[in-house]
Amino acid sequence: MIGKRNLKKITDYVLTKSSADQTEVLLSASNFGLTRFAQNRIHQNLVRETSGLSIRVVLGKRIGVASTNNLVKKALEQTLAKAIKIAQNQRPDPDFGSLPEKTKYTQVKAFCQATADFSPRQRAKRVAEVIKQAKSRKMAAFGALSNGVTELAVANSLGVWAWFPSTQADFSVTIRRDEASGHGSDLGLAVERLGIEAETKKAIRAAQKGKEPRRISPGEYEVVLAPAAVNQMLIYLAYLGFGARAYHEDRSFLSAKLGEKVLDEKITLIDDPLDPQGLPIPFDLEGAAKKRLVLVEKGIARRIVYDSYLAGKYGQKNTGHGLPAPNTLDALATHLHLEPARKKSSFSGQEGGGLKNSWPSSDERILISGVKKGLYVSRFWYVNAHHHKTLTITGLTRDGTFKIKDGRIASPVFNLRFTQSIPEALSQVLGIGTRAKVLESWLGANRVPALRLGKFNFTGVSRL
Amino acid sequence: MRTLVDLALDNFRLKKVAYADIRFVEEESEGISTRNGVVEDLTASHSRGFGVRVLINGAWGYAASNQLSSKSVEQTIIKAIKVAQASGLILSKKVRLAPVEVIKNGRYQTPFAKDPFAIPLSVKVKLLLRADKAMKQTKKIMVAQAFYRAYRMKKIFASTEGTRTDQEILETGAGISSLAADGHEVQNRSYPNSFRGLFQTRGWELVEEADLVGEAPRVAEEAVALLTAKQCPAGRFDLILDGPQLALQVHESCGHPTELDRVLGFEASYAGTSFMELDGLGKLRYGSDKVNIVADSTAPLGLGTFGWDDEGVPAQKDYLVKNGLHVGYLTSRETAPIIGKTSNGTMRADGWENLPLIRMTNVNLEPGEWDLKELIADTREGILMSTNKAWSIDDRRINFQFGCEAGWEIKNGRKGQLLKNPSYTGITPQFWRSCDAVCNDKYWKIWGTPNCGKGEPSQVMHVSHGVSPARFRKVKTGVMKE
Repeated sequence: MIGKRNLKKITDYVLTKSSADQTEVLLSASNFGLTRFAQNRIHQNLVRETSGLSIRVVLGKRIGVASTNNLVKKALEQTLAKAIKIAQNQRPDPDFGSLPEKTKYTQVKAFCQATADFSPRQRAKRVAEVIKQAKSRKMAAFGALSNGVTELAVANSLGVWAWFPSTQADFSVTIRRDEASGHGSDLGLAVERLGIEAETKKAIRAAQKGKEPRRISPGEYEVVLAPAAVNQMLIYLAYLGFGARAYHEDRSFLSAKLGEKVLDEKITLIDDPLDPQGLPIPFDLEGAAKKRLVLVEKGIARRIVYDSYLAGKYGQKNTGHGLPAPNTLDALATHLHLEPARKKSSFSGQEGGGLKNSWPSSDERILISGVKKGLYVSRFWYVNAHHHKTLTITGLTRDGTFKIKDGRIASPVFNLRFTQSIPEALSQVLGIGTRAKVLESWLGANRVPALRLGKFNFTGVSRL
Repeated sequence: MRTLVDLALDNFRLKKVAYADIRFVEEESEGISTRNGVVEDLTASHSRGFGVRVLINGAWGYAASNQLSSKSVEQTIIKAIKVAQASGLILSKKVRLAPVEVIKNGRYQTPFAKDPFAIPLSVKVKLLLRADKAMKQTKKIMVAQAFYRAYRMKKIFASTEGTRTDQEILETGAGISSLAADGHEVQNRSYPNSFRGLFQTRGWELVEEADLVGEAPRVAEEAVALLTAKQCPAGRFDLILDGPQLALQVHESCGHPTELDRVLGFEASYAGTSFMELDGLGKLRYGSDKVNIVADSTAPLGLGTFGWDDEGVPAQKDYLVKNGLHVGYLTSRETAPIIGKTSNGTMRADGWENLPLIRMTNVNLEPGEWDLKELIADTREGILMSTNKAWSIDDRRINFQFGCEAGWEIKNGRKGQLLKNPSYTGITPQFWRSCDAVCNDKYWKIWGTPNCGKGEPSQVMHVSHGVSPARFRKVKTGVMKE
C-alpha cells in the first residue's frame, strides 16, 4: 500500500503545480493476486502491483484529461502539462458547471488486513480443498480465487479530498462431469468469510442433478431465477435504465415515466453504496458523496442517477454516480439492492421439502414449490441488449437449467436462449426470495434475491 | 530499459529457473469524441511496466509491476517464483513448452504514413466536429457522435532461451454514429462500423480516407429512416451479411471456439469451452466448402498484426477451417504439443500487467468469387443486414444471436425497403454449412475489434477479421417482438 499520507502528497503536488481554473486528481493503487484452476490443477497464477493517476483540468469551460501510471514528480508534471495542453485545444462545453465541491462523507469500512495479506500459497491451499472435493466425486473443478487491496483517492482544487482503502476477495467455481455442470461464486471484503466450501458443494450438487439433460421446446415459461440470473437483469437496468443521460435523451425505459408504475409492485430497487454487507464505498470517482437512493419503490419509478456534469446540464442534484472523467457513458448505479421478501411465504407458496440441501437454496425451493410447470435457471450468460429503450436483452442459461414439475425440480434441460424485455419480465413477479446474495456489478456489488416470474421468453436451444 | 532486461536475465540464471521471460510494455493513447457539437472526451494516457513469467518444476508463476527500477525487477522475479511454487502445490501434469526458434535481436514496426500523435489536436478536433455537425440534420437526431483514437505500444521481450525482440505497434481508429428518437422508437446508425468505428494498424491516413464528414448525412438519414421502417420479419430467409457484421460473426463463432485453451478447459469457469473438440480436428464439417478461415498475424493492417507473439513465436498464417473442414486451432507453446504441433504464435497479453493468453490475431474469412451486386441479384427472398448492434453466444459457441443496425429486404434479386431491428440466430456449424457464396477480394477488408474480452482478471485484446460479404441460406431472422 502507498498509504493515505503519500497519496495526499501526490495529489497536493499536482494541485499546487496546476495553473488551471479547476483541477482534479483521481489516484488509485492496488495489489492483486489471482489463482485460476482448471481440470483439477492450477494453470494460471499471478500477483501484480498497479497504480494510476488521472488529471482533469478546467480552463473556463474547456476540459482536458491526461493519465499516467508513473507517480514520480517529473511524470506528474508532464501529465499535468499534457492535460493543460489538451484543454487549451478544447472547445468550451457550455453545459459544464463545476467540479464537485468539498463535502462530508459517511464513514464506512471495507478493509480486511487478512485479505490484503493473503498469499499465493494460502490461495493454493484453499483451491486444493476445492479440487479435493471434486476429485473425490470423480468430477473436475474449474474456477478462480482472488484477493486484493485498493486505495482510491480523489482530490480537487475546490477542497475535495477523499481517500478510501478497501479489500476484495472473489471466488468462483464450476464443477463439471460429462455434459453436466454446476456453478458457485462468492465475493466480499474478507477472504476468510468467502463461502468456498458451501459454493463448491452447491456446484457439485447442481452438476450431479444435471446429468443427461433433455431438449425442451422454446417458448414462454414460468421461471424461478436464482440470484445470479436476476443479477444480470439488474446490471442491464443500471447500464441502460437508471442513468440521467439515457433518461433525458429518451433512450431509457424510464424516460418521462418518473412517478409512474414501471415494474411489478413487489419490486423495490435501491442503490445502496453504503451497505456494509455489499462492497461499500463512500464517494464516487469525482469525489462526490454517495448515499442510499430509492430508484423504484413498489414498482413506481422514483429517481434516476446523476454525476456532476449531468446534474449541471439538466439542473438537478448530483447523486454521486460519477465515473472517471471524461465519462462518455452515463451516470451509473453501482450497488443495486433488490429488496427481498420480508417473510418467507409473503409472495410465494408453501415451503418445499429438503431444505437442508445446499442446492437449490431453501429460498429458491420455496419459490419452486409454488410452480406447477416451469423452469429453474441457475444463471445467465453472454447477455446483451437488442433494444435499449424496451430493455430487450438476449442471452443464454448456463450451468444448470431444470424443468420444474408440481413444485419440485424435475429433469435437467439443455441450455436455452432467451430474448426478453426486462421491464416486462419484472412486471409479472410471483415471488421474491427472502435472502439477497452479494454479486458482482459494474463497479461494486449488487444484493439480489431469487425471483419467481410469471413469464419468460425462451427463443432457442443450445444444442448441435 | 535494456539494462533492466539484462538484469532480469541475470536474475533468472541465478535463480536457476527452467524457463522465464520478461516483457516490458509502454503504451500511449489519445482519444477524442464529440457529442452534439461538444468535445466530451479529449484525453491522453500513458502506461508502462513489466511482467515476469517463470516456469518452475512444470508450474507457472506470473508477477507484474509498474515500478521500473532494478530493485523492483528483482523483487518481482522473487514474487513470480513464489507464485510458481504455490502453483506447484497442485500439479497433476507438468507444463512442457514446444520448441521455438531463438530470435536474437528481432525488430518489428507496423507501417504507417502519418503519425496520428503528430497531427495537431486542433486539426483532429475540427474534423470530428464537422462530421458531428453534418449529422445534426433534423431534430430527430437526438445524439450525433464522432470518434477518433490512436494507440501506440512499444514492447521488449526477452527469454532465458535467448530470444530478444523489440516491437512497435501503431493503431488508429475513427467513426461516427447518429442516434434518432421520436418519443416512441430509438434507432442508431454508424459508419464505418459500430462501437467507435474502423480500427487498423495504420496512421492518420485511415481517418482521412474514411471521409467521416462526407458520410455523415447518409448515416443520419438512415438513422431517421429506421424510426419508421418496417420491423424485420420473423421467418427463414437467405441472409447476406455486410463486412462489419460478418467480421463479428467470424470472431464469435470461429475465432473463440478455435482457441485451444478453451478447448482444453482453461476458460471453462469463465469464458466457457468449445464445441470444436480435439476429436473433431480434421473431421468436423464446420462449414460449406466455400468457407476458408485463417489465423494470419502477417496480414497487413490488422490489430492482430505483429512480428512475434508474447512468447517470442514468429507471426504466421495458419488455417483453422479449410474448404469447410476444421483443420486447426489457435495455439501456444504450452498447448500446441497436445495436438502434435508447435505454436502458431497467438499468445498475447493486454498490457504489461496481464499474463499472455491464447488470443485471436487476424482471423480472416478468405474471399470468394462473387460480386456483391450479382449476389443480391441472385437472391430471390432474403435480407441484407448491416453493422452489429448486439451479440450473444453460448459458452460452447454453438447458439448465437446477433442484432444489426439496419436491414434491407431482398425480393427477386433487388434490394428493397429498409428494415428496423434486424436480428438473426442460428447454430454455428449449421450456419456456416449454409454459406453458399462469399464475395470477392474487391469487397474484402480487415475490420478491427479492439474490445475482445477474455480471461481472469479480465483482459481486453485488439484483434481483427478480414472478410467480404457472404450469403447464408434459410437463416432464422426476426427474433425481436414487434
